[in-house]
Amino acid sequence: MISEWQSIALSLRLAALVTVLLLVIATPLAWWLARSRHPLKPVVEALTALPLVLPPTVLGFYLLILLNPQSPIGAFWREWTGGSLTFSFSGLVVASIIYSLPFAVQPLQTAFAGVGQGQLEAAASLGAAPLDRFIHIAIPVSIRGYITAAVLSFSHTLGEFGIVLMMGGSIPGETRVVSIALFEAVETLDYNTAHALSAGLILFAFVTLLAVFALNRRFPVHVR
Amino acid sequence: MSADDLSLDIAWARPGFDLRVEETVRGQGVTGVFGPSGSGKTSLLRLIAGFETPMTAGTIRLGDDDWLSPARRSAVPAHLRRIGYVSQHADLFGHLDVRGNLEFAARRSKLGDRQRQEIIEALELADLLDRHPGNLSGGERQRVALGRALMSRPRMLLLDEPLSALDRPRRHRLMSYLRSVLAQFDGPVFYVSHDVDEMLALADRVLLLAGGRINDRGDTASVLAAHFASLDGGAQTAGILSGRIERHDPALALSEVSVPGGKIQLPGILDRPAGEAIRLRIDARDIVLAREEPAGLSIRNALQAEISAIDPDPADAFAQVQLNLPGQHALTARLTRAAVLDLDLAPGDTVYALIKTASLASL
Repeated sequence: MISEWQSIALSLRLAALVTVLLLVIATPLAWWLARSRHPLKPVVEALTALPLVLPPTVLGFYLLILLNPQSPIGAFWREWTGGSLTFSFSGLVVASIIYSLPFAVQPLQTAFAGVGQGQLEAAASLGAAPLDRFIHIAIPVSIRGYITAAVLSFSHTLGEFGIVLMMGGSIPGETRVVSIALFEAVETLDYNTAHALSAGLILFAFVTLLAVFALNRRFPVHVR
Repeated sequence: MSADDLSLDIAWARPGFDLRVEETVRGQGVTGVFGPSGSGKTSLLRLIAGFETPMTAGTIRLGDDDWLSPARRSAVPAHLRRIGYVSQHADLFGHLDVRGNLEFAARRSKLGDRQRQEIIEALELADLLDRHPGNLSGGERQRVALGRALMSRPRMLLLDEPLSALDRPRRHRLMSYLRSVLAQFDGPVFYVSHDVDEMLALADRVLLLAGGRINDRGDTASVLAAHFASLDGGAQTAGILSGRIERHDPALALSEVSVPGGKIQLPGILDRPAGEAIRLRIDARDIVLAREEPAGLSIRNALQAEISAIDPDPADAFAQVQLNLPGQHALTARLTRAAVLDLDLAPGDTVYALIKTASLASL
């Protein structure tokens, strides 16, 4: 059971880190997608949504090709950090960011699209520069989008399996996340452990979603 | 030419619409921008505010500051122009309470506590500070938006139909706040509306906009009077009288206003100081003509006037009777052609124009 706790801790660490990084990365991307009329916008939108429809194994396969230490990116990473981007925790972080990207971008994009142009213009006329307007108007107005994006990214990362299997393997403390541990428990017919992990994940997912819906009620949408 | 005159020379185009304005506006007082919807009023304000940028080189200059000029490579962005902008939507920040909305402006303009307090008092915002914009009435929202704009220490105010979302009693109340704020404001004010009464109540001069061009400009009463026929589609003609508030009778809730040709009793202006100038719009249908000064009538307003022209309309029962009052003022009365014949009215005759007090209301 010790190794199962280790898997749980690893999953939580991965999901938390990925969520924070995703919110940072998705914010400018979602803002651009929500506001831009650039001809390349549909292309970027489609690319961002790709992980929604691709089998995780496809993504995992290409990431393995793209990030292995013999590839340019993998070699570059090795040069700089001495580590590997495949079969390592850092590799899982990179893979999870790509895999969960649409779950962060889409709620934020929807939220940003709802930020009234009138409020942004009012803020400008009151002396707020673009970044000031973004931080003090757009982000707070989109707080529900942020909550949704964070929860979806976190849960989705927690639940990923195929992509981890393809490019992470099952190294305890490094890449053996909960879903892998669960898979191995079933493979070895250890149903007690499988039950404990599965029930735990279900409970966690339910409590998280409940918390989100309760929180959303505390941030009512203020009508202008 | 005062330091803060506003010079405009802008050309701006959208599919199916283009705006071309070349105008210099005095740096003090309220300039009404008047015209039908789609005439470019809001576009003009948005260009001045910096929310839109003309494609071609032009000029927007306030005092010595060029916001747009052929010499500049790009226009000064809105947040550096220090322009107070209030639209009919108020556009309050929904995630902040009223206090937060006001402070958003005051912090960025580094407004002192004393001036903040003055604005809060002038607009009576103290009771609203802890409320959220979602819980404010339309009139309260506009008051907050106006206060917020003033907190940014603007050099110029742009008001885009700030009253149009309000019902009549609320309009009336907000109007008295507006009047006192605008009287004290130091800098040019643009006030956009398609409402004649708002223009008469607030604007010192009017730019008449139609189809993206300035058709006429000048003193409010004369510009509006000259264009009444086209403004109301010709269906409803009216005249404008400029007068002065003489005295109030609080017991009867009436005020006496002296106008060319006599005196008029006016309700609803007890809050305004005696001696102040006031403009009244008088609908042609609300005027009755009499040959002699009437007695034994409930109508209390009788102005002596001279008939300048009579235009009967052969298509229906009515005739427009043009009246001259002292000081180049004019009114139009709409009578039946039968009444014109009965009274034997002719140009040059002296008559009394009777106006029912209940038909008069000033914003």
